[in-house]
Amino acid sequence: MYIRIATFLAILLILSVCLFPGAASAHNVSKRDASFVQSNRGPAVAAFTYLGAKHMVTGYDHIAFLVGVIFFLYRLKDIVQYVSLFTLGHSVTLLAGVLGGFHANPYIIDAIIGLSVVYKAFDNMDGFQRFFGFQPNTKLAVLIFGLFHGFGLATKLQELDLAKNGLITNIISFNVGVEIGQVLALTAVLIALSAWRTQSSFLRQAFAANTVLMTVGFVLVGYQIAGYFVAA
Amino acid sequence: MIEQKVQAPSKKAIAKATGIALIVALAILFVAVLPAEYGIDPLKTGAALHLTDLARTAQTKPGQTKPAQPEPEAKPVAARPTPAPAGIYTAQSTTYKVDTEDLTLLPGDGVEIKYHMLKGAGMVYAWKATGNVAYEFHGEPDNKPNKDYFESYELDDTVGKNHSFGSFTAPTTGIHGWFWENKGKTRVDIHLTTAGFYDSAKMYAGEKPDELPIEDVK
Repeated sequence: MYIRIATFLAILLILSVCLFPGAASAHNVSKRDASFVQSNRGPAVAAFTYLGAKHMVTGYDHIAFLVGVIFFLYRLKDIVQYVSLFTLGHSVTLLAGVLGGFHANPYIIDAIIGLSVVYKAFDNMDGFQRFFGFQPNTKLAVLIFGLFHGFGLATKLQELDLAKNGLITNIISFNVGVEIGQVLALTAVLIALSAWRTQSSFLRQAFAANTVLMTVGFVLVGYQIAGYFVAA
Repeated sequence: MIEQKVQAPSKKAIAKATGIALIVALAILFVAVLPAEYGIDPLKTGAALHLTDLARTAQTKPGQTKPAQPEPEAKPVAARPTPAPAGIYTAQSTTYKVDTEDLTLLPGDGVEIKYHMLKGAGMVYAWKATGNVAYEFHGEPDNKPNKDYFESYELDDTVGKNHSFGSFTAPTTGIHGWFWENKGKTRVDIHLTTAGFYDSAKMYAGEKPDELPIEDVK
């Protein structure tokens, strides 16, 4: 039963990603959306909410991090706590970044987001306990990486030269959309994980899965670092 | 948070997994990602797998080497040459050529496609892009007064367009074609189709032009 629901949701997620014109892309706001954002000259709640949700559902680096975060979370209460911390982190820097005009190099921010995936995978392998004899505060780590994620998003929105008219409404709508997208992505990830956990092979495969997750993180880091030097 | 683990992995297993993850990631980066995304190809695997084709038009990143095409504003724009003798038709001794090109421009990239034509030869063309691109339709005569000399036919270097269709009669013997530049923030794909009495085609994306294969119409 679980497996059937999980398969259905996974297919739904893949389809929705394919249907988005920009396809999956880490953090980019696609060209058509970009020209919409630039030509928009007033509050547009629904449109910005949609863009925020789309950003989250199609951002594979973000989803990779969330998979790492909830990998060993079994209780709904824990999941809600961790995801709320992440949300708090990225909302703060998204709002502060755009309103305060802070600017950072997007390649560096994206490399740090890639690093967060590596960090979380290493954490899931129990690496910190084994190598350093202590467990860094996992909630604090999620909050801090959340701050970086929001900062990256703020930098990208700033590049788009947003209109002053309706700015706050639009950023808040975008942020609400980001949360909706996060819930959608999380639901799919969680159902797939739950189905996987019922299998006896889960614990054996968990270590390998985190190795793969770490590989993805390293690739993202390398990709962004190379981009930083090529663009420099 | 971690509620059930049969046995915690050993230090050695974690170190091994981290090492494997790093090595596999580096292999993926150098074999595929860097050649395809940036045209960086130290192992020559990108060329072998034709991945660098994806980045071929991307060799000119912002701030890096500019495309072979000189800056339009830096060059003297010549007065319009006298048009070729106007006739209802111009007969040719050989059949015409056709060519189709698919180009990908990452943000900040530029690329140029030019066809060599004799004065008075005709060509029809159509190009469509997935987003607006700045472009200039221009030509360089074989006999030009200086190496930066060119003649501009059509220019849109501000808003850009996502398509252009038309017919063209070469005003001089030389190379004629388009320079496109992606001034946006996302990748743009361009599809170009031409048919005409040209004898060769060249693409300028980096330092040296590439000869493009063209074929006789069937």
